[in-house]
Amino acid sequence: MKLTSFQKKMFALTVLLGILSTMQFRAVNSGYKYMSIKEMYANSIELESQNAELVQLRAKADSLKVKIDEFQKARTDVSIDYENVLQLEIENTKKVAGLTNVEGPGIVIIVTDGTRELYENERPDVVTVHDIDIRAMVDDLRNAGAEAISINDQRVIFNKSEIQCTGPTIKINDQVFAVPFVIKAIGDRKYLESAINEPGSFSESLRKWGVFVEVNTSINVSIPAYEGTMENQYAIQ
Amino acid sequence: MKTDKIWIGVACVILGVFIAFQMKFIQGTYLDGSTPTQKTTEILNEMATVKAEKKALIEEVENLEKQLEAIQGSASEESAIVKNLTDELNKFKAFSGRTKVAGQGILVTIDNPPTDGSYGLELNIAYDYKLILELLNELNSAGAEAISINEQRVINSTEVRLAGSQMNVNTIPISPPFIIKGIGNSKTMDGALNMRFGIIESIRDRGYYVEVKPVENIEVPAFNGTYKFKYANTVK
Repeated sequence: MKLTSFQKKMFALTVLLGILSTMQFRAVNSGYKYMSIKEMYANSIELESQNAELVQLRAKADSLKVKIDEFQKARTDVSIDYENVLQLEIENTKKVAGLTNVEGPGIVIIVTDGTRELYENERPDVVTVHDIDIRAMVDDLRNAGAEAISINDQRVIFNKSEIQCTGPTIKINDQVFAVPFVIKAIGDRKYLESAINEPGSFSESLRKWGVFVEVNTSINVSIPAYEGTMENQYAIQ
Repeated sequence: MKTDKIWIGVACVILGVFIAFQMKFIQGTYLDGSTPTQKTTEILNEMATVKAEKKALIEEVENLEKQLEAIQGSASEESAIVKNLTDELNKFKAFSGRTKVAGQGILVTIDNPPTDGSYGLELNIAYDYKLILELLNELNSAGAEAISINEQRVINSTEVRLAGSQMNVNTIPISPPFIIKGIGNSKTMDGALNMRFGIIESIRDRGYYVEVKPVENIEVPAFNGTYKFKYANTVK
């Protein structure tokens, strides 16, 4: 039997179709999934965040292991006073919780309302200090690695200190303050100073609007302990 | 006939050059030299391993914490002083956010609006992280006792920071949707956030998606990081 050229072509095409559909079938079956570039981007961000959490968790596990060893040793070894170890741990925890007076190198920031003349139709809001300004500065300082922060000698504790506008004054730790605000922070002086002075920081825009912001570094800044309530009514462990 | 063939040849060459350009561009920039399907599988596989490892680590951390508690518990059975001290330690630990807590509270979900191809600018809540800061502050004002953002507990050192197109919280990059949990009086917090011209309204006005839900029981995780002081010294 002799094949015509049309039949030959059809044969070749059918074979090609067979190969292609097999490949497609295998690709679908092999677990490959289709993702758009956007989804892929979202996934790689997610991956990055998960990896960062892993690092965090590993560090926590390691520190817990060290602590367990320490307490185990204190329990079994008669030469170590268990109470002392416990006492030391309490001191550390209090320090982390912001319940001790601390001192160290850091910066002192003075923020107060601007004194420049207002332009025509300009609202006075622009040159006055607001609660959001103070909050953003505190956030900038935290990001620069501040270990302790106080505003007008009120220790800033994240879960208890609200910084709230109450008209002409700002409430910090349920105490009312007016300008000037003196923010103190302990940490690396260079980092902290540049967090306030750097272009693009919140204080930069404050200065541009006319609010007075002054930063001084200091070898020794002392920051008082948080003195408010510690009672929890709703949170149960 | 002959010129036609030459033209087709020229077109083929141009097409070939373009395809080569396209391949080179795709390989060089987006996918580090692998095809989209390969990259996808790679990402998904890595994600699976990372998630499994995270789960294992969380379990390990919980076990270690139990061990530590057992040691401290057995020690406090022996003397009243030690028991008092241990109780005190646990109180401060809870205060500094190093324990898991649960109670009635509020659940706030913030997400970017669905992207509309016809619009030029894309909204990203991470760029407006000051709104998140304000939201946290409103929660604190309304008496929140424990707050977390995407499972990151908010503590004294917690920063909320724009980093690239993401937001860093406790130095962990997180991306929308942001799920903010707060424990406290759910009615007060709900009312404070939903106040007229309040924070939820201003977030919504910017075009983001926000949902506030008071809940009977919500769990806020412990702070998972480590905290070391390098500069601050305790003053007696």
